[in-house]
Amino acid sequence: MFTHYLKTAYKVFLRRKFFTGISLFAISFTLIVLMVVVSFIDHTFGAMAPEKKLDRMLGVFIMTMRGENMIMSSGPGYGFLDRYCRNIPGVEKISFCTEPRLAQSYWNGEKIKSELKRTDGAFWEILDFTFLEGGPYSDTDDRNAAAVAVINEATRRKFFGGESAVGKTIEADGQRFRVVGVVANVPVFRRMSYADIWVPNSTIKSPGYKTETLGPFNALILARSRADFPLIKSEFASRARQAELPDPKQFQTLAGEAETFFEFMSRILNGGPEWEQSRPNRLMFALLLGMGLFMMLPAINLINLNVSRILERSSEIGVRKAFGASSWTLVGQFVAENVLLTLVGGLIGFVGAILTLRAITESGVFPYADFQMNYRIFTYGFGLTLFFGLLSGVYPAWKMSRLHPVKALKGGTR
Amino acid sequence: MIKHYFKLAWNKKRANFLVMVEILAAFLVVFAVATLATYSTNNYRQPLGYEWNDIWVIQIVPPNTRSASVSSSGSPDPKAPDPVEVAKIEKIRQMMAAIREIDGVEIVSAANSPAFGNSTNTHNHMKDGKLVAYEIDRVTDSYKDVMKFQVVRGRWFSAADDGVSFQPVVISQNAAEEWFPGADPIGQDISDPNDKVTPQRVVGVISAFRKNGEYPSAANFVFERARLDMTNRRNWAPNWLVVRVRPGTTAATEEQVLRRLQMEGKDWSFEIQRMDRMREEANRPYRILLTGATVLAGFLLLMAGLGLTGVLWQNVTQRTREIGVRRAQGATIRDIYLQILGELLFLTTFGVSIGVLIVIQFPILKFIGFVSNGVYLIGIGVSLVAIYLLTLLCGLYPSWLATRVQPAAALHCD
Repeated sequence: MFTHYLKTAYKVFLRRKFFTGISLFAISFTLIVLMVVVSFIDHTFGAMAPEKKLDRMLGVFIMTMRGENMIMSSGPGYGFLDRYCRNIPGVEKISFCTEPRLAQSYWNGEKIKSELKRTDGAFWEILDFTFLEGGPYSDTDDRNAAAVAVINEATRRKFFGGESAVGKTIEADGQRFRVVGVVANVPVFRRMSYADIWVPNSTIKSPGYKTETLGPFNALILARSRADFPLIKSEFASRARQAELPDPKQFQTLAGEAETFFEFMSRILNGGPEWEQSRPNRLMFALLLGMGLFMMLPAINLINLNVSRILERSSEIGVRKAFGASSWTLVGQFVAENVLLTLVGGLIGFVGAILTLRAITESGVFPYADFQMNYRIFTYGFGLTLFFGLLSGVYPAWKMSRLHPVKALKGGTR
Repeated sequence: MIKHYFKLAWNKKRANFLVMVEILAAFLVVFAVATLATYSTNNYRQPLGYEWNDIWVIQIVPPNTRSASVSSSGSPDPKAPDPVEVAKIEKIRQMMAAIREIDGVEIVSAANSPAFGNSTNTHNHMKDGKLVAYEIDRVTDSYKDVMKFQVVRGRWFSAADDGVSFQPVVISQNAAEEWFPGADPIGQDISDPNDKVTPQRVVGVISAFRKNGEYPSAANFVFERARLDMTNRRNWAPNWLVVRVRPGTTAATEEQVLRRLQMEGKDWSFEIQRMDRMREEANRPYRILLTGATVLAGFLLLMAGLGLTGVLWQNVTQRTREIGVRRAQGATIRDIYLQILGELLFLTTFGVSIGVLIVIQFPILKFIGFVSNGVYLIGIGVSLVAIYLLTLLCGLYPSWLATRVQPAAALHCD
């Protein structure tokens, strides 16, 4: 029976190539756009090297200090983190690192711009970098203020051409570092790990950072398991509340949260750091709503096309009804036909999305971005395809099933 | 005649409803893109007010300070100058004197939030029942010559202001027009009357200052005089040097400047950027957004257009007999054209009317405050023209098909 439907669908599609063409164009174009969007979202929030353990990770990205007439928002400072956050229960490892900063080097008369991130040793244990040569530096290196650096592949090329870099010295922002490791490039979307050059925290030029409450730092927390998240969050929040502040006359309270990157982004997009509550559901809703709105025009377009094509097939429907096919059977058949068409469109869409993503990767607009198809994007894409097929197929199918057999046989429409 | 089209369209309201929704959706898409494009071109054509060529912007980060965003509400208590701040200002003076010596460096100035730098300082207060909102920067006297501002009224501040009892400020033309319409802005005070500090008095007006480049809309801008030879509590250390260099100055000079700065401030950090590059970077997201939105809208419209053509085509085939009867009764080819296109235009008008009703809420309710009503009106106008053109184009082929109907053949077929 099913093969019979398939055959009918195939014949119908071939009979009006113009219509089939328009439908396929609409479906595949819509899916290309949606899949590119999904892939951007996945590259920003999904677990991907070097942040492979993202599902067990929390971060402290921003904190707020309040006084009577001053509010100050910034990343946490090393002083606060070191004093209060070393032994939070449920935490397997914690790392303190700065946000990347632009660092300039002059090398053989040329200027090299890099993003420089300062980290501790635990950073390399929490994140899974791919080392091309050498290895990371350790907490001991950090304690001894060793002038060592890990660089990425692009930086190695800029400084040393294609040659091996380990053991050689580079210069950045007026400081000299001995290269101990080279890692594969990290895309700009990986907010926690992205940089060109990584060096120990203790190489910061002046030691004042060790006492700062707010500063340029982030904390990366690797929990034992996801189940420990609530415990870690509440423990961190209460430690922030109880922390001793440097200038109690100016600022009285400190607030901050350990949160996932998605929660952090929804906090920022929701009105900035002073917004007390992060509302991840809202960001999710906004994303879904945006995609839904975008799908609206193509879906209506497809519904319209489908509805008008039904009329062409009214005699077929009349015959089937007259021979006892129920409305449900007909609905099922038509929806299945539409989903089949959508799947073909989805296939074209996948190929198109892969090509588009490759073009974006090669355009170099996003540093080190490498948009690859992965199983998550594939799953979402497949889900979107099915959803789109159902969305655009159900109403026309319902309409078709309502045709009166006698009228349908006569070729009427109402 | 129009009543007749209305009746014909009304009789098929179910089928036509979906077509109308499609036209509505297409209208909304065009409106969004047209408004965005109008807004951007409108902004792009306004003068920037400065020349960004051959300017280097140097961020100077003193030891042990954070890259924090501070927002103050109300003014801090008056207190004696902070010794740390005094030392910083002294150091910056030395740095400025040092790089002025370098060959290729023409004018050196200092600022707190220079053009294209990512820091902004906004201020707002109520004065005479009106909200006075502006962006403010404290700059040294030489900033005008570095940026090549055009003073249209009054004068730029200078050493002549050393002894005055007020804080001299220069405002942008748009601020002058908004705050003192029809009056002479020179000599007016702009500061908050509740604020017990030295009043800010306007001494000059410059043609424009659009800090973040061509695409964003212009904010009211106020320049306050920064003095590096005197320290009172309102005089904090600037964190950027803005330098005009001789055209054609290369990276070698840049390195020289950096080395001099590093010599002066051993534990400071410096970033030298060229303003032309910063402008490129600032403009890039807008270009990507505009191109992306236009391409997407283009494809969406193409798809909707093809879909609409398909639906109309199908409608015409469906109505062969009706058209045959009309032809037999003496309707001319022109009449048939008019009928098909007339019905379509009726539908379009209905769809876009609802669309206009929806989008007119934007200017009425001021959803997006910084977009002016004129921009919305142009956006609506452009989208109306585009949608009517699109539907006409889609109707041409199907209505031509309708005129090819032979009355005799149409009446015979069953």
